[in-house]
Amino acid sequence: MYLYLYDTALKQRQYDRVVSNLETQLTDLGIVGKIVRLSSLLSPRQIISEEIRRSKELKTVIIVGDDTCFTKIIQQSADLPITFGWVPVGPKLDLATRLGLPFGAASAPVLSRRRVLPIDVGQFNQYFFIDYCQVPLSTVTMSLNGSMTISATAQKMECSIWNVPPTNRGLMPPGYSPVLNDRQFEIVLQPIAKRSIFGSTMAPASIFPFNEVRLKLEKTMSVELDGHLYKENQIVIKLAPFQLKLIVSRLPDSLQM
Amino acid sequence: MALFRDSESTTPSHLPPMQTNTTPHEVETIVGPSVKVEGDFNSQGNVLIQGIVSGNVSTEKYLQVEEGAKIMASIRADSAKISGEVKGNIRAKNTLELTPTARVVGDIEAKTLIVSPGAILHGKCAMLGTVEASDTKKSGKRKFDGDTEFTMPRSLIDEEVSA
Repeated sequence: MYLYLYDTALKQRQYDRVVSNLETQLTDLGIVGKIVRLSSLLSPRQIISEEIRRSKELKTVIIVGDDTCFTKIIQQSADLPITFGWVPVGPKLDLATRLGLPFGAASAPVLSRRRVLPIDVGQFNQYFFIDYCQVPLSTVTMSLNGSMTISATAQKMECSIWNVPPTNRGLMPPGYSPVLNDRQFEIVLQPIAKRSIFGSTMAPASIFPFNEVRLKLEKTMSVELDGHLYKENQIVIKLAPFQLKLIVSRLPDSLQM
Repeated sequence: MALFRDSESTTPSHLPPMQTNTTPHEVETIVGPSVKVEGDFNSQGNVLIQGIVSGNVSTEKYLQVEEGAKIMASIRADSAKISGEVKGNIRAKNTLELTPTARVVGDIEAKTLIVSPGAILHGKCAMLGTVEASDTKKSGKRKFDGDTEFTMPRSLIDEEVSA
């Protein structure tokens, strides 16, 4: 049985046609299910948990929405025993493009084919992330895998974790390319090399593979997690290997299985 | 699909030949020049050190210590290339290369040793993998190889026994 979670933005008239086409396609393919329209008052996790409790047959949740909607639901619900699908519809579809998912009604055959890929996600305090985590420039004390501490000689550094390579590869260190299902995470540290009146220059990046990293920030900072901001000063990031089961469109040769 | 390994990634210009010959993901760990690591550092992949490490470094693959880098503890690796400063013992299962800028204060053990002119080594040196060497290690006694008499360095024998 399928549960479809519709983004709040889909109430807008401009998406009527897309949604109508999608529903026609889903009916033709015989994969219709219960539809729940999300609202700011409803927690997606609560909705999914409630539906799982009501129906033991519920195995798949399809998120119909854009990047913001998808990542918000994944952040709260990646640990639930469910397979996720995604119909990218909406204004912001960068992650969907990078995941190679077709938009709108074109994704119905993908859901029907049901090619499930277990992928790694990160756990940031109590939230999950699928795409990236970015800690802004700050004085950080870092403990890696409980065995070593890492610090910047010039005190401040930026910390980034990518799970899906960004569209702008220049954001990552040259030669580095994360893999979504390699059961491995790397933290990329970008310390300040020197400061001048014209600004700061960044030193070459450091890359450390990890299972668990603890960051202590000098003060509470806004940490970006898949485009959502969280104010934290104590951060624990863990690798959750193969935590998320996602329906994908195709399996390229380079995929690690 | 963009999310998976990018086989067409350009190789970085600043990285050493070891990295340019391999796919980018094989270089697992890079300790950059502005980073200080304290504690034991274990890795299963290739490691490039450009910064400061205060603690034992161990990897099952290749280790490269670049010029300007400092390691203040022992090193264990499959192969290693040292261009920086190491204060501690180095044990390489295969090749150990000391470049002209290398400064090593400690004993070294390797199967194949390459020392460039200008490299500084303050410590004892032993070669791994020869039958004579392993026999000597076990017995701790002197062995004769033809007309040449040699012994294992005392420090290495002690280390083996205590390990």
